[in-house]
Amino acid sequence: MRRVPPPTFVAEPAEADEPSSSFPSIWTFIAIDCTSFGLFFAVFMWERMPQAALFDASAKLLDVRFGLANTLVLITSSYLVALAAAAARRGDLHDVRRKLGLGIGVGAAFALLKLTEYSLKIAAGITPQTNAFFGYYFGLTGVHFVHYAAGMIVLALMLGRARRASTVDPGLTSLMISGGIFWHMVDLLWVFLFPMLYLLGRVQ
Amino acid sequence: MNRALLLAWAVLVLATLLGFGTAEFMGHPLVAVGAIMIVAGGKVIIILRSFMELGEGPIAFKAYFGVWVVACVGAITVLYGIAP
Repeated sequence: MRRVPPPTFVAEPAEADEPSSSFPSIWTFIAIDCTSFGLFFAVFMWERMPQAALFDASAKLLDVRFGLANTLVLITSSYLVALAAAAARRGDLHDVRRKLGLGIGVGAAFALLKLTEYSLKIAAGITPQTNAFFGYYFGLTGVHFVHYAAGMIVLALMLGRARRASTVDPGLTSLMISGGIFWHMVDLLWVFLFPMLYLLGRVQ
Repeated sequence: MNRALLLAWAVLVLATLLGFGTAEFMGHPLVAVGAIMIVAGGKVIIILRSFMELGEGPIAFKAYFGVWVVACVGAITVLYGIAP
């Protein structure tokens, strides 16, 4: 029987000074993940309808300052990671390391705030079993936190690669762009979660 | 490039504070929720275009995410409107 050679894939070199001409394939994953979260949002709002008063009263028990601070943290971290990707395109390895390090540092504040918020809620006797709202609150923010943790690992791997590199090669640029897109998705999803969980219940 | 990113970041910060202020002070609940979600949708579009560079992607992805943002904002606002 004749053996068929496995298909080979040749990475196309990216121009260092121009945006990548090939569309990063991570977008397919991003589209699927965003679709899933879109369905979660709809299910949350659907479940809210017959128990709007309970959901609104429960939302008022959340400390909106945590949600607001975490939004600003993720937006700023995302901005720094976007700057790191721009630096990679310019071939500025020093700036890649600096901006990526700052992005990770700022991003770490999200975990600190979120875990503090979880701890305070649990200490106050509020858990996922308290009521339907808190079931969704812990569930949605928990799934988002898993994405956040994965994003932080990706950023750390990117920084490790940038530290080992002696120059910005197309592989590093591609990694900066794709990893950055994943990190921006973490930010993007929180931009919908924050108003839905923290703000809607406060509207009078 | 960096200037455009800085501008996007500044707009996102201001829009976040605007959305927060709207929840605290705006009058009619449905109008307030509509305004909050439109601001959130606008922020998501800025992230998609400025940080994620979706604008340079294929038309199918741009159309898909455009529909996704409108669907999220619309679904949350309409479902809130049914049971304010």
